Amino acid sequence: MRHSIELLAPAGDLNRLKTAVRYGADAVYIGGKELSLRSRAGNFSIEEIKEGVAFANQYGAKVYVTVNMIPHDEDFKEVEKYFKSLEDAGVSAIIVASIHLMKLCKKVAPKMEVHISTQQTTTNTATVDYWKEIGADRVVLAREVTLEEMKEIAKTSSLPLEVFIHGGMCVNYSGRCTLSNIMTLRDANRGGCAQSCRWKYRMYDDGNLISPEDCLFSMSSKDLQAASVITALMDMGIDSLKIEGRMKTAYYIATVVKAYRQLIDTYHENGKVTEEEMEKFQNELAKAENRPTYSGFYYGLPPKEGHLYGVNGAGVIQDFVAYVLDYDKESQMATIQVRNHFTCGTKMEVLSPTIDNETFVVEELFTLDGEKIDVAKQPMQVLKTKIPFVVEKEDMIRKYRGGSCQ
Amino acid sequence: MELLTSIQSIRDIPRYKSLGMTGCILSCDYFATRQNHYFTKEEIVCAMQEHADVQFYTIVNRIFAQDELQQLEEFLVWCKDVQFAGIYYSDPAVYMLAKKYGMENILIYNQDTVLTNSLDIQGYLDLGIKRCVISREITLDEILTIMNRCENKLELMVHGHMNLSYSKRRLLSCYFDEIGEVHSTAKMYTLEEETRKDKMFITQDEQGTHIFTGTRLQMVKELPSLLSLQAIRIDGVFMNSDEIADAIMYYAQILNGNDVDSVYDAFIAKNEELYTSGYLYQKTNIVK
Repeated sequence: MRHSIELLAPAGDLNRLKTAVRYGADAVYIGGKELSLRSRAGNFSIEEIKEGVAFANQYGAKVYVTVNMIPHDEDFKEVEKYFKSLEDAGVSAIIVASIHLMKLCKKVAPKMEVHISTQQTTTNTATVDYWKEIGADRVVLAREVTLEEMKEIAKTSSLPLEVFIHGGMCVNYSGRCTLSNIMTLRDANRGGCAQSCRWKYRMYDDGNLISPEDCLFSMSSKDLQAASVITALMDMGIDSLKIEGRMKTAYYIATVVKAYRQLIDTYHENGKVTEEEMEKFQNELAKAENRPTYSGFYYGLPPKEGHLYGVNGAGVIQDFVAYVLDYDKESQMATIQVRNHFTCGTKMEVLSPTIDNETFVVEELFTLDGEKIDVAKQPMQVLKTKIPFVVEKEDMIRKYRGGSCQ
Repeated sequence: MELLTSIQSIRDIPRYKSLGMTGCILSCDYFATRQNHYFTKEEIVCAMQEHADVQFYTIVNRIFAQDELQQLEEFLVWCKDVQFAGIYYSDPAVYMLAKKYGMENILIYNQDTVLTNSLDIQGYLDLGIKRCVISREITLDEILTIMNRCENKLELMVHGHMNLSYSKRRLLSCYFDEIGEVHSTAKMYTLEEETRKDKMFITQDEQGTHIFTGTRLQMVKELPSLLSLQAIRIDGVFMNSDEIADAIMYYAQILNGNDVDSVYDAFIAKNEELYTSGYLYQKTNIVK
């Protein structure tokens, strides 16, 4: 039986929240200024949260706020006031790892749901029941749970379940790693994770070096990409599919959300996803990759193919080249804002929440003064170019990579 | 205050007891991980019968998959039968199944990273468990704050190699596979980040991969300020029998009121470079 399922997307700022919602997220999770694990993400003020909730509600979407750090005593200042302000802002739920914060939220801001963060490593129904008894409304399962285990948990789960389907993966059980603390004095569980797991290490056996210099030991895991299990997750009754990445770009969010949105809708409407359709969705996801992907633990313990060696971390995607600012249907001229270098003659693809991806070739480029140029190389520069089909404000233009996963 | 240690051999119990140990931790394979030795149920029962004046504890720090809950339940029933003084756990599933058998009052919550503040710790104590083990990633001042604000049902690991991370992945197997070399995964290796000199230990077992500090935590000098704890623990992983005996002796001397500076000087003189005060005087609050 196909199940109505939530697509939950990350957002590091208001622009990305709006992007996630426009491209099809049913809910967006964000960090507030307090008690959030991604200190280097933008993180929202209360005013921005209010604006984000209002925008999301227009689309029938919800906003959740992560309050998922493992607090020290000094971190609890004015938390009650903060929770009340989140509730007043219309936030639907908070995501927590602290048992105290969970109980406090229930007491002072009861309109908000409390979701148990993956930091709490929930891997079985007994633990789900535990969080239910304590008062939680939803549990985010650990990424280490396999598809088969998930199926068994979902059969008798006492709480709605949320699972990760895409994005970066901690190599360790989330919340049970302090490598960053010891190596950099950045508390991994209070928003400071330095991703020391992705660094390179020499390995010694009784003092003898055994790691080759061209392939030092690393604990870097490939990112999760779970398109192939979405239909199974829908069938088993999982409630929410979560995309990781509050620090990811708007382009990344647009691409990933749209691909999963289409996959979910295709299965919901047709009762199946053909091999061709699945290939198309996976190809779309590949266009946003900045790190190689793997299926995580869904099919069992990851072998070496699930890990990265000789690569430290994320690369930079430069396929996204411009935003559409305006479009004149009569002249077919689009006003665009440049984000990455491109030249005339480049084949482009337009990514839009409302139309299927369409391609065109940049024949000519003009400055706003009408000067003809061959190269767009200044970020944020506003230019004009002809696009032979209707596009909308905030649509994204990227270099066309065809259907292959390059 | 209880002075506890994990041990490598039941033969060590009389010696450790004579030095001041009040209780020891004997754990079974599969249910425990990151231990210096694993004992069979029969060995544990035998030791308990032979040393009736010692408190016996066991560790159940596995993170349980759905299909492992039945084994956990059976093991807890056995634990109840043999009357452990306490069971360390980190997966709340242990609490839920123990509660079913009315044995939550012998549970000790030891999730290494989440017990960092007084409000959460009191929240867990309110569940009716025996005590909580304070996390190590906090300062001495923060520990003292917790001791002031919480019920006196607290324990601290004061001595041993601190585990830094726990992965379900077989990181050693995968790496050896990647570099095309055959090495045993059943032993400890040393890691050194390519730009740093600090060393860490890495091991792999059936439950995954574990990384530990290369240095050994010690709190000999701080012990007088920690006397209101219910228990302190020496974690004997990567320590031999004599090193564990030494540690028991020094902590017991402080508990017996010996001069702290003299005890510390004698202790540290043996191998100063091996030891660290961990996070006691070092906040880890850099976030940018």
